[in-house]
Amino acid sequence: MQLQIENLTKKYEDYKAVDSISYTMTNGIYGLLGANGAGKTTLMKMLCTLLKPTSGTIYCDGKDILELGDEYRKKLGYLPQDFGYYPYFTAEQYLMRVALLKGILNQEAAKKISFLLEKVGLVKNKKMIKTFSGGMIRRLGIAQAMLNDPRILILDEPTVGLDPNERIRFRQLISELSEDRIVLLSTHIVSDVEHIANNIIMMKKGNFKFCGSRDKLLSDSDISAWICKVEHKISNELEKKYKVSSIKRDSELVELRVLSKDKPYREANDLL
Amino acid sequence: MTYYELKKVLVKPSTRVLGVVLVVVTLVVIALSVSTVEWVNDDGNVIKGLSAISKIRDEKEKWSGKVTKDYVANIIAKNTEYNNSVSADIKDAENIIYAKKQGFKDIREMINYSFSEFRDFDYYKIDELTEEDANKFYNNRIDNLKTWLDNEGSQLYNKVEKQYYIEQYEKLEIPINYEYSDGWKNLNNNASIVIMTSAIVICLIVSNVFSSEKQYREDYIFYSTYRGRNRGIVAKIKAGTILTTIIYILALLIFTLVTLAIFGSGGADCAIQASGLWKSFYNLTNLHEYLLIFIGGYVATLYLSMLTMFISALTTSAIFSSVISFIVILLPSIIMTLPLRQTTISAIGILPDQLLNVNNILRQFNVYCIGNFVILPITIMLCLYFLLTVVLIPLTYWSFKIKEVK
Repeated sequence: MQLQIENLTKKYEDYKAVDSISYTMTNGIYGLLGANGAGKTTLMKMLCTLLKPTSGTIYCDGKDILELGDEYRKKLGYLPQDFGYYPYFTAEQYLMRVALLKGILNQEAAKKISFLLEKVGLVKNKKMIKTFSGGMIRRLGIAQAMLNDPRILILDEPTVGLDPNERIRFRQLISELSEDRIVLLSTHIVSDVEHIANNIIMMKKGNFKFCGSRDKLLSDSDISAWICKVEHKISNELEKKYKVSSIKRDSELVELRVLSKDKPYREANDLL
Repeated sequence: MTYYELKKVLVKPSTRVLGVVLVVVTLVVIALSVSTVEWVNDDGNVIKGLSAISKIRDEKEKWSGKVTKDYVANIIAKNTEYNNSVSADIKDAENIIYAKKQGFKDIREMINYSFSEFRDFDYYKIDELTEEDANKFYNNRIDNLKTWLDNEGSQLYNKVEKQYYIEQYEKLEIPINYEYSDGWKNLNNNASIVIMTSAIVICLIVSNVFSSEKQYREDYIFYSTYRGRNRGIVAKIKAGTILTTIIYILALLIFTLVTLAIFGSGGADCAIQASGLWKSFYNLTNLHEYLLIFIGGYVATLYLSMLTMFISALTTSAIFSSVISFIVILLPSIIMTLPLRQTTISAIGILPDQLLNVNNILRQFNVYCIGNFVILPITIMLCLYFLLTVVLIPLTYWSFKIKEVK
């Protein structure tokens, strides 16, 4: 399985969310890092045929994914960042509906659903999804993405809402499921991908700033991952100067995850 | 997939509330028609409601039969006899006289229509008649129409239309048969309220079929699946059509069965002219009218439902699609209250809201001509809205299929 991105651009009026990127993915886990607004979600939406590129093409085993259409989507599993669900369904009912949408027949779907519900720890839950916690909903999202045993698995911020134990379980699950498929996983938590991703892609302002293995990322350039809590004004300076993998803002402070050889700020902590 | 689409809509609390509203409106319509039924006893006391229904039915059934000239003469004679049977000085004299005449109330109404001017109705006209006048009972209907078409109606209709109306009047099979038919009369007169409420409720419910993905952010998953952009959409269209059909049939079934159970089902084969539509040029029985109302209402509701789904698929907004459907249903009725030219009335006469009220179409003198060929508005509307519904299906499919998720 090969997914080839060629000169891919997505423009919203004058703003380029994704700017002429080219990259090829083969089987393995890819960690997509980048701050909010870097273009990760736009790229993933194009990979899932939810958005059409302004220019450029994505090829799956040499064929344009938009031309492949349903055949391409048959191989696809997707967990969006903003995962929606029907609140009045139970987890089982919801998964059965998604299974049918994925073209899985009833009997096979039932087996697959009970396997995945057990895997994500929701097997005994017969309540409506609207009563679920954030973590439970995220686990349900992961289960639906895996229903069709996808050859291409795209996970947009899959660990949001999971507690530390669930995150560990999730990493194990992804590692188990990663054989013979492409897994593209976006996150702003470096530790989510540091142990499982074979390749790391750093995205900033619609461009790929770094592509390569984690070891390469760290050894070639002696880069470390740093967490900095700074004021808004300083945050702007750090964003301009360094590769920033994520940004969280509140009214007073900004939390940045910075990839840098040197300590970017005096109170920064090394993450890795 | 269709099952889950149906389930998505049906388990929603708002759908259940709308279902209850529809049942309540249906039962209120029936209750109101029951509350207006009156029966007057020999002492002139008025009894209303359910207990009056069986008594008035017994009275009316005594007058079942072919409405021949002798029959009409007999009614005129009885009317005169009863009018003179009670002194005006007696308390409740009018009610006591009415008690004697209430059995032939419907035939009395036909006679009043026949002997009044075409556009008038004189409730006491029968009191001026003699038995000899009975000979003119059926001829009056045609003569009054001709007089009206030559005068007030002369500017409104062309020669072909006028000729058509006269021919239809002449085609009425006489003598018409009279039977107690209050069940069908109530059904046909009040069905439009139930049908219109059903259409509004259905549009509100199906507006969620295509907008729920966006509302619950399910569109990301839906569009990224193998069947999402094909069978997923077909399942939605099927679900919308099934919901429309089931809700419509259930509402009409409840209304029909309860109404006929209360008022009786007799008189299905009687001409509509004997059930308050004396002037109608449509030669139909009560059962025919009911079937036409049912089919017309269904075609219009299906069209409005598909229109709602189309707008909902296009805009992914349940509110916007519901508002458009509301406008399509209600605006023509508001416009019709304004002073309009005949051409405008003719144009509005084929808007879908008219099909929701077929009983009203049967009361109007409105046909469309292509040369010497006359087409009834009901025929145009049934064909037009069925075709538009069919056309909307692929439009709905494609407008949802090509959507991007931003």
